[in-house]
Formats: sequence, C-alpha cells, structure tokens
Amino acid sequence: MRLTPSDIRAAPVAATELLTYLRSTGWRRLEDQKRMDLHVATLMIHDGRAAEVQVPLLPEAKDYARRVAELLNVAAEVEGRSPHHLLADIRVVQFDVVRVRRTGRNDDTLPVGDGAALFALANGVFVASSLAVVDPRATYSGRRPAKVADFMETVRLGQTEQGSFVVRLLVPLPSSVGQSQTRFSFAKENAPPLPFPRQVTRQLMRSVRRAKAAVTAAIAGDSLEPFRDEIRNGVSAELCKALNAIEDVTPLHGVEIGVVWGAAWPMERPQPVAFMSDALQILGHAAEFLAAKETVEDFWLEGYITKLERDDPAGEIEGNATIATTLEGQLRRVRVTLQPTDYNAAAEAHKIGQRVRVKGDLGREGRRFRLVSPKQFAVVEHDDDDK
Amino acid sequence: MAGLLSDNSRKANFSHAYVDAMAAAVGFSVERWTDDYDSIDVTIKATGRVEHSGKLSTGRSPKLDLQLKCTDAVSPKDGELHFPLSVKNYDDLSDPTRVTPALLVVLFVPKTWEQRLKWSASSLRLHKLAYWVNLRGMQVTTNKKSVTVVLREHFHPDALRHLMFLSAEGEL
Repeated sequence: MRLTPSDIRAAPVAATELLTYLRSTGWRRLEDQKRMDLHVATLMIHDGRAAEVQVPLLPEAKDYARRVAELLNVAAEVEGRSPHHLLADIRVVQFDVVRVRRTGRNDDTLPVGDGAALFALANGVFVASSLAVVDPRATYSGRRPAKVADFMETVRLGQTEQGSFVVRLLVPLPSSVGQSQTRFSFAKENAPPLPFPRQVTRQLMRSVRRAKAAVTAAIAGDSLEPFRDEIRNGVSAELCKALNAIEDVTPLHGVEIGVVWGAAWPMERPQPVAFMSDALQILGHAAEFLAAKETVEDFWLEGYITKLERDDPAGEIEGNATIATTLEGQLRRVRVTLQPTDYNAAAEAHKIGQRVRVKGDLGREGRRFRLVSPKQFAVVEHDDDDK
Repeated sequence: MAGLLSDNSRKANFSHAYVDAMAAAVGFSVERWTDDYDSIDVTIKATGRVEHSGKLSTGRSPKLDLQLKCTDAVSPKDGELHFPLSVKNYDDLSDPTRVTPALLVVLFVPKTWEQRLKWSASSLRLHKLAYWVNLRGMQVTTNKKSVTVVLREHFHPDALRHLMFLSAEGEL
C-alpha cells in the first residue's frame, strides 16, 4: 500500500533523516534543485537501480508531505518492501532497530502467553548481549555492571509492525556528526570506535548467530560442549535461556532475530537469524549446561605466577598466589590460596619465570576467578614443557 | 440512469483523461493523487533533461503539480476564461513556499457529453479547450467563498513541454 501525504502529515519526517537513510542505502546526490534561486530539493540517484528521488529540503513547504510520500514510494519500490515499513525505519535513523519476529504463523495475532514470552525473549537477549560486551562469560551472577544497567534504561520498545507479529526494540545511537570523515575511511585504523549501544547490537547478532552454530554442532556431535567454545563469542547461559523463553512452541514455529542498523552509523546489514522450535529446546538445555559449568571440579590450572600476597614475610602461614592462564579462550587471572610449602614453591617459580600447575575447584568470586581446595601443586619442570 | 457516475465525477475524470493524453503525447508521466490536502490532483513528471525549442534544460527530472477543474458553467470571452476558484484552492495554489510548481488547469467543455467527446473511425476528439494559470505569489484574498481567477494561456502539448522546461530551470 502506497504512502499518502496524509501519512507523512500525521507524523512528519525531517529532511536530514531522509538524507541520512538514503545515503546509507545506496543513494547518492545527483544535483541540487532550485526554484527561484532557492535550494528546494536534492535529486538523488540509486547506484544499483538507475532510480531517482527528489528529497525536499523545506519542511515548511506546502507540498513537503506530498514530496516525501512520493520519494518514499519510489525508494520502497527500489528496496522491494512496504513503504510503511521503510518510513518506520527512517523515523529511527538514529536508532539500531532489533526485530524479534515470531515465525510460522500466518496472521498478525498471537496467543497472549506467546506474546509475553516474545517480549521477555527480546529483553533477555539484550541483557545477555550487553553483559557479553563488558565481559563474555558462561554465566553471570550478582549485580549487573552499571554500564549495562544504564544501557538497558535507554532501550525502547517500538510499535509492532503491521502484517506480522514483530517486537521492535530501539537502541538510541549517539550523534554521528563529525564521524563521517573518518567513518567512511577505507583505513580500518582510522575508523572511530563504535559507541557502546552499537557494540551491544552488533554483539547481539554475533551471539545469536554463534548460538545457532552451536546448536547445529551440538546436534551433530550429540553433545552440548560446542556451547563452551562459543562463550567467548557471547553465548552465555543467560542468552540461551532468553532464546528459550518461548517454551510451549508447536512444530514449524520459531523466532527470527534481525537488525536494521541506524543509518547514522551505517554498517553492512547482517542476515536475520532464525531458530525453529527444536533449536529453542536445545538452547534450554544449553542454558542449564553453561550455568552448571560455573564451578568446575577437579580442574587442572596451569600458568605463570603474576602476584604473591602474604601477611607474614617469614613464610609460616598461607598466602595468595595469582596465576595467569587461559580460560574460555581468554587470558584470565586465577587466585588461589596456598599452604606455606606450596606458596614458597610458587615464590621460587615466580622468581625464575617457571610455570606452575595445581588442581582444584574452579569458580567465581564476583568477577574474579578463584581455585579452591587446591591440591597437587607443582612447578612445571622443563622436561614437562618438552612433552 | 441508475449506476452512472454523477456529472461532476464524469467531468473530473474527463479532465484527467485530457491531461493524461497531453502528457502521453510529449512523453511525461502522470501520478494521480487521492489526497488533495494542498489542492493538487496530479503531478506531471519527467526523467532526465527536458528539451524545448531546441534547448536542453540544465536541471533534470522536473515536476509539475496541477489542480484540475472542468467546467461548462463559464465560457471564454475575448480569449479569457474567468473561473470562480474556491478560497481554499486559491490560497493553496498562490502559496509561494512550494518545492514543485503548482498550476491551475481548467478545462472548458460544452454542455452535453455528445459534444464533449466525438468519436469516429478516423479520429477521437476531446472538446473543448483547457487553460492554465500560475497563481504563485498572488495577492492574499479576504473573500470567504471564492476568488475569480483569469486564465488566458492554453494548455496544450507544447505548452506543457515549455512549462516542464521552466520547472527544470527553476523559473516557474
């Protein structure tokens, strides 16, 4: 259904939003259009489709709404989608728009329980993704970091879309003024850092994509271990649990998650990620699996001593040693309390840069790792290194 | 006769057909609007540069918005058609703050349909004559119902081409 001027007059859209959106979707300036020496419009052409649109620049013009409706109808035809959806996206050029869609249904209604679960899913994947940006982990406990809490306060629910049941979440982006000179540079090192909100939406898409890959690998290998490999990519118990929020699904129904980047910060648009009902159920098991891995019993920790702390320099009491090692694909520091003999051996190893090894139960204390119940502490001999 | 359009609707459609034929003859497209909040019925469009009298426009892809009227109530006299235009239409069309030029086109038709459209095996004729006027920047009116507008220019294919050329040049 084509847009009419009344649609635009009901909720006007600014020329800057139109230009920002068009520039980010393959349109470029062809020429300025003047009327009686006044710059009234910009003519733009689409690189791939030889189509032209006129962007009116005077919102006070009598025919502004008509010109906007005209251009959006043409642009929608070029993009192959509804002008109304296009208009909805233009209104949010300063937002990343994450769309969570219930698939497999032929109408735009939903059982109320499914609707509530869909909203819970959307909220949950956002929380999990923002946590993963700060610190990718198997699971999270305790208070959310302030950065995550503050970010979640800014995420908005948009209007659901006509013709389908889609939950839209709007992530506001900071102004990109001044960024364009470096943002479109081909040199990666010149690109400005992405704002935190964009990091979260980018992480969200990466996480769900990797979660889906883990599902496929889990089915093939009949094991949930692939989910451990994806922890560093943002797959966590919280993410899996959020995706599993729609529990009571029927076959052929599922969810699809996609994003439209805010045009103010253009990036290549990723394909949406879809999960069918069987995948969602596996994700439920993965959530339990990842949460259970929070404490790993009889874990062999091996690494280099980076810090030693003991109140008694004489060395007759226990002390704390920090060991640098690799966990979940990342460099981590693990604290372990050692008895005097082991502590002294650790001090010697630290002095000469020797690796150490100890067995215990690996867990978390807040944001730190700790190995409790240490046993069989040993300095790794050079011969061991050669094996 | 039951089931037929009202005479006003028929005249409105007739004026659209008249303009469609003119535009087709010179290669322009026509978009018809159902929403005439700013008193526009159709937009004439061209892609690329427009040629007139051997000259090519410097600007490209011009447009022209038209308000169409069809009347048999007033007749031209001494080359002029004096048409009573509603105050709303007058105010809209005289507003200078438009991106696209907007014109009033009035098609003067005979009293009967037999006189308005004449078909034969050798030709189709649409009677009788359309006029156009540019009301941009005209004096604000204090009238309550209508403003009598004087139209002198004939609306025909070459006139349409010239108007589109002027639109492309930003001179309309």
